[in-house]
Amino acid sequence: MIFQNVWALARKSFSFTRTATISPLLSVAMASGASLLLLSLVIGVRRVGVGGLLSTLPITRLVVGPKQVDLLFLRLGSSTVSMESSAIDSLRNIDGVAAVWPEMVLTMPTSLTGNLIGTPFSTDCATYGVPLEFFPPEQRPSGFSRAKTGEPIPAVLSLQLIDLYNSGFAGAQNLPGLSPKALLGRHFNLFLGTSSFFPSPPGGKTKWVRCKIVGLSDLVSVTGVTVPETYAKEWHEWYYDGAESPKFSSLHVVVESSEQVATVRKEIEALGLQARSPGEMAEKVALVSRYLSFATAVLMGLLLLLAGMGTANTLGLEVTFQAQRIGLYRALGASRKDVTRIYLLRAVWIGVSGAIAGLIPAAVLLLIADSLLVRVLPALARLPSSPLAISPFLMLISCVLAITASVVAGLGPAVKASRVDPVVALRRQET
Amino acid sequence: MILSFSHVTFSVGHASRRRRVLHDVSFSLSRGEIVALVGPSGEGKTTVINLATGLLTPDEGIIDTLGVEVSSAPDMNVSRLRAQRIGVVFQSFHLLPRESALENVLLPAYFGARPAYDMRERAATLRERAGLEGWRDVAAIELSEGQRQRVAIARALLQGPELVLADEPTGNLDDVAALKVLRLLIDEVRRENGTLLIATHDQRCLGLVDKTLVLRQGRIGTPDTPEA
Repeated sequence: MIFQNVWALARKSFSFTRTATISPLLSVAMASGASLLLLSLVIGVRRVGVGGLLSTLPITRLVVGPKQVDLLFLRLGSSTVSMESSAIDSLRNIDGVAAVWPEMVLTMPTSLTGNLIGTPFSTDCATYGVPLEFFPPEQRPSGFSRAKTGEPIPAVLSLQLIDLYNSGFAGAQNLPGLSPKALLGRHFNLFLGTSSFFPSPPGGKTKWVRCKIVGLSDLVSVTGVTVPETYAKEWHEWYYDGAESPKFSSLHVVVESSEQVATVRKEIEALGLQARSPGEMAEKVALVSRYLSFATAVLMGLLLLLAGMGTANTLGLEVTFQAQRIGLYRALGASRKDVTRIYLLRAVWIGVSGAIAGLIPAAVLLLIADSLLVRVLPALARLPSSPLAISPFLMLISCVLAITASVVAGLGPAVKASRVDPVVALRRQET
Repeated sequence: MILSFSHVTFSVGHASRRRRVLHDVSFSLSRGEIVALVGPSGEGKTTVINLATGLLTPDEGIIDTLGVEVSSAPDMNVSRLRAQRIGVVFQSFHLLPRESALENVLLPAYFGARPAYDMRERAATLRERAGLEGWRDVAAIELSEGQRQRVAIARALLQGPELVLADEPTGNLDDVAALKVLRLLIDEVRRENGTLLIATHDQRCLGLVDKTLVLRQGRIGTPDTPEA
């Protein structure tokens, strides 16, 4: 039998069982639509959470600080505790440690003033100093080195600070959101030795310096401004006249390979320090995302199974009710293979029609949900413009899954149809 | 030789309930012959037709239909033979009840090697020759029994078969309709230069055929030697 004739006969048998066709069509439509929704949601979450956070953070880097109590996302302890420079030497002696980059914290009061979108502002802040090597090569901000005389001092801000501003402060103050790009190149004044909480005592040392934002990074501390280490050392020396040794808020340990991270971490903890990965939060997001992916896969599997069962049930009943028709086809020249093809093609038709019928409303729903999410979600710096993953590729995958479920479900009935004994089937009609 | 049965034996049922229907049946049909296979009901006439089309397989013996040994050939070959070179008329018509006479006549074309649509003109011609020109869009279920059998005859002739097998074609018809249908069948097969085997218990067809075979107690004979 040529395909055109097989298709014509497959269509011919639909017209008599329209009502019976609706049920598997609906279940396939639901399966394909739900698959698209779930896939878009999971991939969206992975893209935002895992792709946005985890991929930007080097997993061979550990941030070492004083011991704190970790309660899932909540960190208890004093963030003002700092470490002496002797800790750097201890860490450098651990096997597997490639480098230790200290994040020096200025223990004097500091504050900054600037102009944000036409509005002058002033705030207390912490000031940190790090060497250029503190940043992994691919994330190094350009110009983060000693400036020429008269030029502003390069500074790096935390990306998380921008997220916090956009998601909380900006909304509460009815201010526009900030993008990392818009902040680059902006200037502000950094005041050393004074802040609103700790104003300089009479005769106390104060000075201000002009700074320029040259980069934003996930690695620097969220609570302040990070400048090249040389400036931090100079300011510390100037403020304390050499009487105080520098203090470090954290020490960034670069481990030689990802396999050694666990061992190095243990040794650091044995020194009474706490080591955490900058990607820890992202790893937790990744874990949640993995659970979500697994749950989605199970749910999709169940939906596809239900769709398949619906198709198999309907086609199975049709084969039973159409036994005489099948017997007649066989008596008039259809081979077993031809009969199989007719019923398989019918399953394909149910799969394709159901998949398309399910994808259209699901895609519309996704677009609506996406536009609502864009409005509702905070304008995080790393959040893509479309939080849900909507792509023709995902539509194709959902479509293929639904059609596959339908075809696999149609295999049994198709084989059953091919085994109909024409002599018995035709005799049944006579009686 | 168009059709030959050689020492064919066939049984139905399983194990202890197994009953032999045909005993060492041998006969043959030459090209262009119109042959009646007569005998009382339940003697195995339908079985002979089903064996000839390859829908049943004999216990023993060889069946050669149009040069294909249907008793041992693969399903695909036998199906192709039924689709393209054999026409079958059933006692109970076996039409698709909700489809038109034309669609029913056209049905065997779907199993051929060409698009079924290409055969619509021939289907319409055969339908008209069967006296159903005014019944174009009427569903088969609405036709009289005589008309249904005419549709079935037109359907059997659609592919221009070399062999037509008719199983009790007048079994469900009244006398007047039965004679008309028999004449139509024989005339049309002759017109198409085909060979016809009619399995029937209707004695009226004896005068219209070239040769008569008698099937009694599962054995084949001629009217002169019915106990052969």
